[in-house]
Parts: sequence; C-alpha cells; structure tokens
Amino acid sequence: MIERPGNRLKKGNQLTQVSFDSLLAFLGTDRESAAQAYLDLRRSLFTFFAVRNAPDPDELADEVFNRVARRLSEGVEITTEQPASFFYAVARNVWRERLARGQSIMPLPEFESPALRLRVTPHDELLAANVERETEARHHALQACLAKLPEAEREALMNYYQFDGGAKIEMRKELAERLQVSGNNLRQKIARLKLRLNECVKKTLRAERGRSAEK
Amino acid sequence: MERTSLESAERAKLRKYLLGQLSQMEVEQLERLYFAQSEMADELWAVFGDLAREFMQGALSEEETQRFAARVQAAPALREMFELERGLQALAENYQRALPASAPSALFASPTARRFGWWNRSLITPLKLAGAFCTVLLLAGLAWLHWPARKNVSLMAVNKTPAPTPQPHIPPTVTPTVILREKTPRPTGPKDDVSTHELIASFYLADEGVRAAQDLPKLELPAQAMTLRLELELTGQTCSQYDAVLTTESGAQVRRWQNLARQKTQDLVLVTLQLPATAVENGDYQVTLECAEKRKHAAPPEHHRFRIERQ
Repeated sequence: MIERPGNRLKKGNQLTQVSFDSLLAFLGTDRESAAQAYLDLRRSLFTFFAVRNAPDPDELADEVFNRVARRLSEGVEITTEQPASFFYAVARNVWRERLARGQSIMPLPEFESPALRLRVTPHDELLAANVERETEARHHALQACLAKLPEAEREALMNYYQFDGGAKIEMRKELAERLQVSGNNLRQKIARLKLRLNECVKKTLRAERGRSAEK
Repeated sequence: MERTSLESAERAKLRKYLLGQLSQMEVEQLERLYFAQSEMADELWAVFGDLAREFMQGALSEEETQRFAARVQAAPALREMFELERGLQALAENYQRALPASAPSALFASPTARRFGWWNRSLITPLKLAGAFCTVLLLAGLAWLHWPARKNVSLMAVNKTPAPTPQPHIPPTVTPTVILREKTPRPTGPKDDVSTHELIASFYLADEGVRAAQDLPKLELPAQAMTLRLELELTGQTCSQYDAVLTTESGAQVRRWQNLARQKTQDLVLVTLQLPATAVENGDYQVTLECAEKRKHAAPPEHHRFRIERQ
C-alpha cells in the first residue's frame, strides 16, 4: 500500500531520471535494496515531521528526498557512512525553513484559552457537522482498507487487538508463535501494518473528496 | 540492523519522546537512532499505539493524559494515527464480543474449529436463553434477529467467505474532540463557549535582531482565518513566565497578555500568543515580551516586529 519510490517522487516535482537514479544509487547497491531503504527512510521522515506537529509530513518527506536527489544529480559528493544521517540533517533544515516560512492553518485545539473561544454560531455548527461527516468517512475508508488487506494480515491485526490484561498478553504470545516471530518483531510488524493502513485511509479519503468535488 | 530485544528503558524513552518530555539532546539522539534503525521507528509507532490505548482506557497519569491529548490535538498526523487506533479498537471489540472470553487461543485452534467457531458461539447463547420456551419457530426468529451480528463476526473471521469482499462493521463513534474532552476537562467558561473547530493562522517568528521597516517579516493573514497565533522565539535569558503586549506602529496597545508560560518544543523555546484575527489590520506591529517574574536580574524585554498583510 506504500507507494513505490518512483510514483511519489515524480509527482509534482521536476526530478529528472538522472536525479532519481542518483538517489537510488545512493540508497542501495541494487534497486530492490534501494527501494527498501527508501521506504524505511520515508517512515523515519514521516515520524520526524509528524511528531513536530507538521500538518503535511508526507509532503515534507518528499521535499527531503527531492533535495537529496537534486544535490546528488548535481554531483555533490556525500561522504557520510550512513545515508540516514544525511537525510536526518536535511530533514532538520527543511523543518527549520518551514518554521521560518511560518504559515500553516490547523484546527484550534479544544482546550486552549477559553478567552479565545467564540460563541457557537451557525457557522460553528456547520463545521461540527463537517467533522462528524469526516469521522464517518474515515471509518468507511478504514473498513475498505481493511478489506483490501491480505487475509493473514487482517486476521493478525484483529487478533492483536483482542482482549485486555493477561488474556491480551496470551493472545499476542500465541500470535507471535504462530507467525514465528519474537514479541518485539510482532509489535513492529503490526505498527508498520498500521502505517500502511493509514496511508490507504488517507488515499481513500482523498479519492472520495475528489469524487465529491466532481459531482 | 534488526534487533531481537528492545530494552524497556528504550520504550520508556520513546514514550517520553512522544509526550514531549525529553531534552533537546535526548531528542536528537533518539531521532538519529530511528533514522539509522528502521525498527526503532516501527517501535515508536507501537509505543504510540500503547499510549493511545491507555489514553482511551483512562490508564495514563493525569500529566500523561494532558500531554497526550495536547499532542494529538496539535499534530494532524498523530491525530490520524489516533483515529486509526480508535477505529481498530472498535472493530476488535466488536469481534471480541462474539468470542468466548475464556478462550483466546481458540483463534488458533484447528482450521475447522476456527472456520465454524463463530457459528457455534452465536447459536449456543440464543439456545440457552430460549430454554424451555424454545420452539422451532422462535429459534428461526432468533436466528433471523441475530443475523446482522453473526454476519459481522463471520466477516472478521476473514478467510472463510471469498466473495463478496468482507466489510467489517465499525460502530458509530464520537468525534476526537469529545473523546479528548472526557480526559481533559475543559477550562471553565460560559456554557455555550464551545467553538472547537475554527481556522487558525499560525506564524513562527524567529528572533533575528533589529530589522529595518522594509525588512520586517510579512505575515500574510488568510481571509478565512479566525484566530491569529504567533509563536515567538526566545533567545535571551529565559524566564518561565512572560507578560506580552502587542502594539501598533504608532504605539497604540492592541492586546495584553499576562503570565504566559514558556514552551519548549523539540528545537526551540517559545512563547505563544493568540488573538482573534479581526483584532489586527494591515500594518506594522510589535510584540514586547517581558519576564513576568519579579526578580532582581530579570531578562531584558524581547521585541518581535512584523507586518500584517491580510489576504
């Protein structure tokens, strides 16, 4: 469900084939390992920007990849032993620049100063209704995305969430044994699966909005 | 790169990272680690899942609850992940209701038992309830009445019905703000004072020394913004609380704030101000920040100048 490197990088950017190839060569010795490294780095970049409250962590992650690709294609030699360190440094720069540019619009947190709250107006009610519709749409998208998962993954995910306390621990232990992985690996596999699911939910919602706009 | 065990200390650190409780140096160390080791990023999201579940169960401490709520409210991507956790939890509960609580391992019983388990479970209870009054007609009625629930369970048992594509049911749930309100009591105020979803235009102003008027940072205020938020970087000797005043170019006071708490983000020390967007017009403004603490060697006032341009 995660987009392949090429799909995302080419979209809306002026990356040349040379830039793209340079990036892949930097990330791995062959295209397969480069693609895996790309996916791993994308998760780290998404995490980095998400934790900083960025409204668009995916776009910022793209920006990091584009910058690195451009520099590589310009012949800049990157001497770091680990590509990840270089990406981390670029991510920090991108974030600093984003802060300095300084414009983002996001919902006002619920619990902020009561003095700033406005009285409920018809406009507020309309917004609240929109939020409710959005929540419903999100849940429909989740259903659709779950249905698209391979059976084994869907079953593993549902089982992972079963029960509480000791029964939950027992369930997860059995699940790990069945999948022949350690408890930690199971946690991480499920976390990765949830990130994929989230990508799918976002894509489904975007498509749904596109269809609504066309009507 | 793959590690087989993760120290609980590392998990505790990831937890603190997500709750914004680490020092800047610790943040950097941790981030370098999860860039270098992808499984650490995965573990971080696993820890986020733990936090989300504990939040929903009310199992976090008061401080953690408030911090988690604040993070989820402020970070769109974290909110999306929280929504996902909630959705999955709701689905799992639906699934769980149809399973015998005492036998989680039944899911891993023989394929045949797993295939028909839902059928047995959903019928045994109605039969017991019907007891002596049971007739063939009543059973048929009960079976019909229970059909929707049984259908959901069979869909979640996944591998049994190839077509049509399974569509697990998610019960209706409340919006995130309502959930968060349960955990984070709203500050007292007028009863109808509950606007929760307005648009806020947020600007970060770095401390870049004195600037000429033509070099002032331009804040382009979108027409639809209802609230203006200013995040002002502090660079000098920092106090824990500040008083702030916003003035126009001519020195007219627009708004005053008292005892604003200093905030520490991952990289910066800030004070945040908010005001209705209608309070400012096109023109130059200045914010003066003064230490609110009465002490002998309080930090000197800090000034931030900027230009508002409404769009």
